[in-house]
Amino acid sequence: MSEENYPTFKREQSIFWWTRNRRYIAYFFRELTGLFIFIYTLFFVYQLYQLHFNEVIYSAYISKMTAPTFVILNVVFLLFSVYHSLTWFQLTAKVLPLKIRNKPIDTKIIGLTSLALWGIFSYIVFIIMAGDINWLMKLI
Amino acid sequence: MADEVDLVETILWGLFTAGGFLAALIIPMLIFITGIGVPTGFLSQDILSYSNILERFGHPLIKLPLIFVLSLSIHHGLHRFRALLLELKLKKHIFLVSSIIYSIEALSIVSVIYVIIFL
Repeated sequence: MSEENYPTFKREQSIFWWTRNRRYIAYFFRELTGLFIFIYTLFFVYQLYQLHFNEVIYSAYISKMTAPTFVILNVVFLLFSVYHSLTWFQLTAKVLPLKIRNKPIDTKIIGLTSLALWGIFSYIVFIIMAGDINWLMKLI
Repeated sequence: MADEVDLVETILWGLFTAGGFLAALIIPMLIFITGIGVPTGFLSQDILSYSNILERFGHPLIKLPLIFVLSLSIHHGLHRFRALLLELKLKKHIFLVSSIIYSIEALSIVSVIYVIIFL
């Protein structure tokens, strides 16, 4: 029998399908973290771009960034990016089942190691921006 | 062949994963310092001062990794956002969505390279 005799009913998927339950909402926000990371990156690059001009223009931009609107915006960026980090590490533990001598490593250990790595990298970023790195810069 | 793996797709998802790791490890601290810590006065204003940032981010040993981190984070973010848009309702318009997203991505990455190389 051809399909024409039995027209199939196609249910229209709403654009808000993800609001149907908590898991979907969590999924939606997890995937949305990408957009926020992208927007923050643009902000950061724009800030670095101000350095192409002169100290006055750059400093004016930096003081503009102290406005509450921008601080709140950055808090939103931070929340999304921390959510990205946490879910990313959680995901890695699941999709990369590591084994030692054929025994799977507990996902908790992978998760904790990722958190430790996150701490180490955050410390490195802080040192690069605020610590003493003369030794590094003398290398080249 | 149905089970032939699309090379471009594989590379894009590979870079997405790399960007996901770098963004997860580095971006939160960067946001905290540049967007919250210094502007609210919790951290010293000197960190974001003209001379400090120029001296540090102008150094080749920091410039190059920074280009790498920011470009991959941009790719990660937009690739993920594209997947979300397709998932929401736009699968029919995959060509249009991909063209727009990847054009924005290309422009952003070129800007990152330009801005940081010429610091």
